[in-house]
Amino acid sequence: MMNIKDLTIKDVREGIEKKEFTVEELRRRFLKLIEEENDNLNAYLLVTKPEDSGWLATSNQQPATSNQPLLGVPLGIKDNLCVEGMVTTAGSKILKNYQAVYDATVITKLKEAGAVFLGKTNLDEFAMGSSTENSAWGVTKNPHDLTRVPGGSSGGSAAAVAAGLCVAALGSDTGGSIRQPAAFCGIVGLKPTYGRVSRFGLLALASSLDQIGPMTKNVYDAALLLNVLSGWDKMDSTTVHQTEVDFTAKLEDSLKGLRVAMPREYFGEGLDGEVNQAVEQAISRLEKLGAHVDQVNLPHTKYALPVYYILMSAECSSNLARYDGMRYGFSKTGEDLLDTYLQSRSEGFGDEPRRRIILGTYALSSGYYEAYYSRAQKVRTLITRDFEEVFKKFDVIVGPTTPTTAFKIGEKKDPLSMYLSDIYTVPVNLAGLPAISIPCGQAQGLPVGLQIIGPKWAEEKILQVGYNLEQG
Amino acid sequence: MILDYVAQLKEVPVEQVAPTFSGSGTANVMRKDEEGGLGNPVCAKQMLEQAPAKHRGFIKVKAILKK
Repeated sequence: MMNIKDLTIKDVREGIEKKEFTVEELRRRFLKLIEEENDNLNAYLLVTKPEDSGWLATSNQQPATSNQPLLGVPLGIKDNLCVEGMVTTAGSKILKNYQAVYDATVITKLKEAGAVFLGKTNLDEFAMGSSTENSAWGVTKNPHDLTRVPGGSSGGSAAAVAAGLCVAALGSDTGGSIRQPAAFCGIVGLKPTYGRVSRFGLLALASSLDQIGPMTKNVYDAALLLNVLSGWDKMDSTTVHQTEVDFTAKLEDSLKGLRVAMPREYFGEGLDGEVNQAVEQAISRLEKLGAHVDQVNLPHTKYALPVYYILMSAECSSNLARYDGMRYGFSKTGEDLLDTYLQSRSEGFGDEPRRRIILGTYALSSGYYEAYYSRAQKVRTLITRDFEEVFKKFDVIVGPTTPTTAFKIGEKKDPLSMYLSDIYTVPVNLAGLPAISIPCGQAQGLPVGLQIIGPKWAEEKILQVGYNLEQG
Repeated sequence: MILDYVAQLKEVPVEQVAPTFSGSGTANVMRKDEEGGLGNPVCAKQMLEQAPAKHRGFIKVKAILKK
């Protein structure tokens, strides 16, 4: 059997079918690997126990031929997703020891598909950050260079996939939290169209932006996982009915005649020279594969980050109001009720959630609402229109996922410079579009990500472009 | 500092622009008001077990009204 660190979902399926290993054997081997290597990386916050086969969705006696698409596939799950009975902290002290009491819809779907859960992966507290340094449980390290961040907020999932400590993982993406760590760790990360995947059971950061998506070793696996994750859900009223498609079906289709847009705003100031070079090489490969590439403008790009920070903070200040120390999680009893709230929240939340709650509450407050929140919602419309204009003439937009490669742990001291690492990913969330980051070479010896953005519901197309590039 | 940064939005003309309220454009989505419509009723007991303080099946908090 090949090194289990390199196993893809397809390999696992074949290995089980050919009886090279059983579901249970594979699970135990991964748990042993995590036990040996997780201390270096801190990718996992919680690891399931070898003797506890309760996390196996299906019986060990798997049938010779099974139509469960993820039978026996060992996954890492970002720790802001509820798995019934499993501790779910969202990287925050305020949820220390909190045990989820139900499954997120994506978890139910994965269980039905036969997947195996290895454990919960590290993240910036409540997914607020771009480096996983904001976790209450310590930073995760980048497997390519242990002095560097894995990106974030899904940094634990990205590091676990890149280091081979799982076959694939789930992340969530509010402003780039799947794609940016995927780029930093040299793996594939897909943020689906807003409304494609149910958010039920995801601990909300910003409800109008959050999406759950796959983080995988290759594009095929991302397509396979998306097949399982997608679909309308009565538990999430923002999911949308779509015809069911097999996202793996058109991966191999030719790119001949594909119309590709390169936004000038994504290749300007702040973009690292070597990252630029790697991305342009990938784009010239697209041309060799038969695509027509043209430059375009997305004129409101420079407003995306300020819009994002107002809307995301406003939404999270409201979403995080539920963590009050009364019903679950961390609680510190004060002199009276107000004092209990104040002490529980002050001690329970870290710096970044506190900063965003304050900013969001301010942006929503009477007297400032028009100037900040309402204005940001209008500029959000303009950013969406920029994309709609481009997609009238083009099939996909390509560019770098991030302006630089993975930065050093502790390098970004002020929050604003950290926010800038999401400059190419944030506009996509504001417009609700699907986008994938795939590895495209190296800069300074570190992985570079290429971002492929599609119009709404065009996951099939961006996966096809990613697959063709990956095959080379 | 962050407030200065977001203040650059003031330069964008938005008089004729409608705000975006929703990520997917769905609105007024309703479901039937029925018992158990949202899943597992066993949840309540497990949820209550995690409350920091409780009394006879209720969550106990400090007094809300002063005497």
